[in-house]
Amino acid sequence: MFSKAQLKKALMTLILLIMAISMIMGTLVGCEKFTRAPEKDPAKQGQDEDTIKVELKEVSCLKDTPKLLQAFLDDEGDAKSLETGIGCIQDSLKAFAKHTRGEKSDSYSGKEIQNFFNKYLLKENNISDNFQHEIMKLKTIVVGGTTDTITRVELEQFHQFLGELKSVGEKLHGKLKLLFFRKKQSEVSYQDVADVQKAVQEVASQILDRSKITTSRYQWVDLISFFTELNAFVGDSKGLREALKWVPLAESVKVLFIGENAKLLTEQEWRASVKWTIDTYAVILKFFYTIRGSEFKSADEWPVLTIWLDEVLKGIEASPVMKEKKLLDAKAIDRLAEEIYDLKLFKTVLSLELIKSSYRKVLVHIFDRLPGGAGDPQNISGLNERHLRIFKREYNIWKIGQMFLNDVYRTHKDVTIPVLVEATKKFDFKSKIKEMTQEPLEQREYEQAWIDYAMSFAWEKPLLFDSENKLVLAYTKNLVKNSFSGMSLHNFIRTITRLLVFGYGEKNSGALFRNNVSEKGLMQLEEDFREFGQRIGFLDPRTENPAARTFKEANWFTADGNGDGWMTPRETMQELAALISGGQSVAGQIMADLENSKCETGDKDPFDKPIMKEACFVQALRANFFKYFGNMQWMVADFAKINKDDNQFTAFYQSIMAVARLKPEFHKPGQIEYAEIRTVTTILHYVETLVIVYDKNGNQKLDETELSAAVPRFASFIEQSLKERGQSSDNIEDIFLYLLYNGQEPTGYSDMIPFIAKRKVWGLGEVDKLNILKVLGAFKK
Amino acid sequence: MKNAQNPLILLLLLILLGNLLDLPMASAGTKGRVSVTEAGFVSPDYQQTQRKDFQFIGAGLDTLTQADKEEEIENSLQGQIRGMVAPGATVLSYLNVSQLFWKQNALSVGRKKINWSLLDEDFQLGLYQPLFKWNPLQTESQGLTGVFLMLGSEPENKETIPWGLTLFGSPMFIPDQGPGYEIKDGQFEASNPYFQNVPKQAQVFGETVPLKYNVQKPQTDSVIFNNSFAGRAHIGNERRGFYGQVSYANKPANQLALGFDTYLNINPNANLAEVEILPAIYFHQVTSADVKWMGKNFGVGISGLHETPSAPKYKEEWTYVVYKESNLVSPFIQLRGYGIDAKLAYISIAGGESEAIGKFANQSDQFLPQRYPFQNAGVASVTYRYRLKKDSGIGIGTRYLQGEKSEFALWSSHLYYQWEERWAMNLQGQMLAVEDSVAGRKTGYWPFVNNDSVSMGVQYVF
Repeated sequence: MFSKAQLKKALMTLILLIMAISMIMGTLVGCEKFTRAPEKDPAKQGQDEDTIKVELKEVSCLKDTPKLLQAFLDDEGDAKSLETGIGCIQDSLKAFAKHTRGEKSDSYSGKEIQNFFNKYLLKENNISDNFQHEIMKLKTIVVGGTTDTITRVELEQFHQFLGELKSVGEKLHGKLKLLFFRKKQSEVSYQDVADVQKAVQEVASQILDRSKITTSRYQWVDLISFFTELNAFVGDSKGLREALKWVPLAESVKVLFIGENAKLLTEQEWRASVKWTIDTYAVILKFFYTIRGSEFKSADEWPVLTIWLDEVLKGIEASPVMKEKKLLDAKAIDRLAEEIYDLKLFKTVLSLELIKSSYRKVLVHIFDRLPGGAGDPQNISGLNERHLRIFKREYNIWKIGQMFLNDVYRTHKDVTIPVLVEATKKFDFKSKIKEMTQEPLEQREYEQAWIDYAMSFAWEKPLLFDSENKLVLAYTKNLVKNSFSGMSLHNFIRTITRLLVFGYGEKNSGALFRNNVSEKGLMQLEEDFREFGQRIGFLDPRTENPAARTFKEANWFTADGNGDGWMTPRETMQELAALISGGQSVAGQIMADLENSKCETGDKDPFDKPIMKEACFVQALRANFFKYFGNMQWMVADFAKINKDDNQFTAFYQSIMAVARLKPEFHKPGQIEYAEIRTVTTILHYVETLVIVYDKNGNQKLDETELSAAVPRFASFIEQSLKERGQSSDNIEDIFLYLLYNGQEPTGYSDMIPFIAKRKVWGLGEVDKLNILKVLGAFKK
Repeated sequence: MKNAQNPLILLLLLILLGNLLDLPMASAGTKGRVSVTEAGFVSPDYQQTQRKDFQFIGAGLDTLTQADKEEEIENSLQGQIRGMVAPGATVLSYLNVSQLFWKQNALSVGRKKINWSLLDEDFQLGLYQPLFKWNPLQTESQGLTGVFLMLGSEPENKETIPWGLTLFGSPMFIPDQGPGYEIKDGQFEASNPYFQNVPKQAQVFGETVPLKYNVQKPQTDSVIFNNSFAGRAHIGNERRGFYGQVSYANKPANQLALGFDTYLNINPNANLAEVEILPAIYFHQVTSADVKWMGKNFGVGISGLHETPSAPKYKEEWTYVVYKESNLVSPFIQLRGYGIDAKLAYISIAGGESEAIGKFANQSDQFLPQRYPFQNAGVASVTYRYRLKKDSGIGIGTRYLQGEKSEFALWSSHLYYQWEERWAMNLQGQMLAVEDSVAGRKTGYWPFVNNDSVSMGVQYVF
């Protein structure tokens, strides 16, 4: 049995064991404080303990960077937009280098950079594979290396480059709207564009200084691709979108002037090409903002155009392709034409194909002087140095004339022929010519052209134009105030005449203005440019042999027409002036009035112009004759008399319509077309011209003596007509006078003998304009 | 990577090495133990590891169980070595060589524990001596490693005031022994309940990517071969009457600095954040003073300590922590007698604030370690030993540590019962409460907030 001490010890042990176990169990369960889970700190609610949140403040700005850059490109941000945007990119680059690594420790692949930006930074604007590729290509021109990787050293260099870009880029602040064609035309002056051009040149030059572009294989197409991808990246920037609209045009300009696969190797080549590109871009900007839509009605507006044209020509001459190959490829010109056509930069009724064929024809038939089948426009190689030289010569000749006019109209309020003649004597054309060309032969040609031009003011019947570009037909040339636009038109007509004579002229006597165009030559011109002429509304497709008709008109009805079987430059200018004045200025005015008076029948003519109600036209003619023919004051006076008597007006109208009326198959009773109206207006110009030329006593009528003076210009026609009929051509003058006095051809001696007797015994008296109109009707037959 | 040990093998190797060197091993009072222990985590919120229950087979050798004072230690090779193997969880295995030294009179060479500072030991701060932190909730001191010269009055001379002088020097340094860990495919495995889990992923600009860890091994020379110096002077008898001591150390801090560098691997095939971790040493100077009076059953005292840490050396890209100077003061009372040993102490820590340096300085507050596991706190501990008969007895103990603001409380208890000469059992429990607050999260216990556990084992003593 157990002793008392043993029992005491056992009991003590038991108590201690119970105590210890209770204490340990108490440790485990005895206190609620330990058993319950800790209450969550409200500040840590929702946080995952397994996740570290890494926030790099230096890159948090990146989400705003596309917007900042977009604001800069759209000229909408403040001056700090670019600095802030690029500064953020710089900080991000530093953070990027500090906090990231790629597969290789000393470099990153393009894919890795793309992955980083897309996955971590750019939630809305992802860098596409293409944009990544473009960035890496751009990187090679900035820091060199390859397009596959960027080393840490290159990254640091890129960082520095961005810093420099930041400072040079600020120079473009406020200029980008203009640069991207987003300003209104009225907000931009020629000087504004020149300032932007200068700023862009400076920026480009500084970028070139700092870049390694010359050691890269960067090409134009890469830059275009970069901007295309940049636009997609920044989320379709208004500015870039506008600029990118012009990319195909710029591309075609580049192909035409720099070449399809131009390889720029040296720094000089790069600098020259970049400068040329920016200059060309500026030329387009200048056209967009200052040339497009201008009417050039004042002398102050023209220098803008001539300076711009100078730049265009200079750009063409200085273009790498022209300098190297002496030829602008025809296919590249076609492509440029296509882009311009697609952009609808010009309003035109011509189709693209017609434009392309027409410029080729101009080069072959006019510049190469190979009319008709002598040249093949479809197989030309392009615009060569000779073409350019001819174009430049004619442009400069035109420009000298225009400069002269600008000077005269700046210094004179009323510009009459004496003023012009006097001014020609004072105009220092020689120094201007020397500025344009150093070639003695060319200088001589320029001088001769100037003399011809100056002489045109001294003609007995010079071309005079009023403010509506109507040819003024008056007895006294010296009192007529010539409008600036009219004289500019005169200068333009001269240039067209020179080109026509150059391409289709014969009788080459050295000086261009001594050359004449034969009827055959004019018919060839019509044949070569028939479609073009018809599309611009100059030729009526329903008219048979219009060239022959125009040729005759130039010989018979112009002030200097002589009926000699040649169309001289003078006759050409006068004919063109009459056609433009009568066929465009006056006829256009009448058409506008008829449209305003709701005279349309609802039908359209082959030129897509409305066909008018004839009664409406007659009414307008009678009511507004003085307005339409304000350039022919004596005609207006005569018409006023005719207009008082309905019978006389009817006779007048029937006479003129006998000439102007379309063939019956094209005419509907009660209707009158634009073609008929312009013939009416042109014929009236012809009639007035004849009267003014031959009416020596100024009584508005032609007597026998005055009419006899006109015989030579019609003699060959009458002679030929008689020969065709087998009749004698011995008495042409009497036959001509018979026509005029009787309004019809003599049938034979039975008509002629009494007429001659009357002439000898009593005299024939005078004929008025109505008689002449009747004769024109006879000529038409 | 694996950082597990095989303690039994090492233990055997050590004994073998001792025999080979023919060093006299302590024999009187030497105890060896072999044990089997089952431990389990009882909190329903426990998530540190998938497993909640672990088994351990342990072995130990202790030649110092009988030696209460320095003079009681024999001139021979002495050691306190304990090892544990956890089948199926090798990362939990350990070898704790808390002391292993050869003593010859006043000179000791090896790893030896000295009570350099009362507060350092009471609150297990590991300032002077490294800690065995296999279980960070129940750390144990380990000795400094080097040469110890211990001079003092003759213990037999009762008429003179006892005094002592300890000088320590070493060309080498062994840091705290932390819990083992495993890294598999760049991720720390959740296999050790006492290894602080680290974030598995990072959120970078709103995108979540996995983290891949790599612990760089510092050069051995840069960690191990660092000079340490320490000295201590004491006067009086620690167990009775007035006692005072002052200590000073200039040595590497026992807690290694953990610098890290992280970068995003942007390779489309990777898309992860790589974290490089580099342990490094930093030096500190520790100065302390303790004053205590102990009566027959009651004692009172105060302990103070000042630490001046220096900064670890890292390259620019690394992020790491530097600590400020700190002053620690701890008053205490003590009860002793009738087999009971109780102590109530309070500690006030001023300073020691951490400052992160490096590129992730602003974002690493919550991840980088604090200098101290807690700030102001109080601790109460009681142990009781009762001898039942010559070869049997019972021992119980409990310790309660609580933050001044109640931001945490750690309560641990143990029972040891030896029912015959060779066999004994032990029962242990630990409970931890940490507030989910800024203060709570700053304590070194927050990562183990659900590590409430109980363990029970059987030992064979030989």
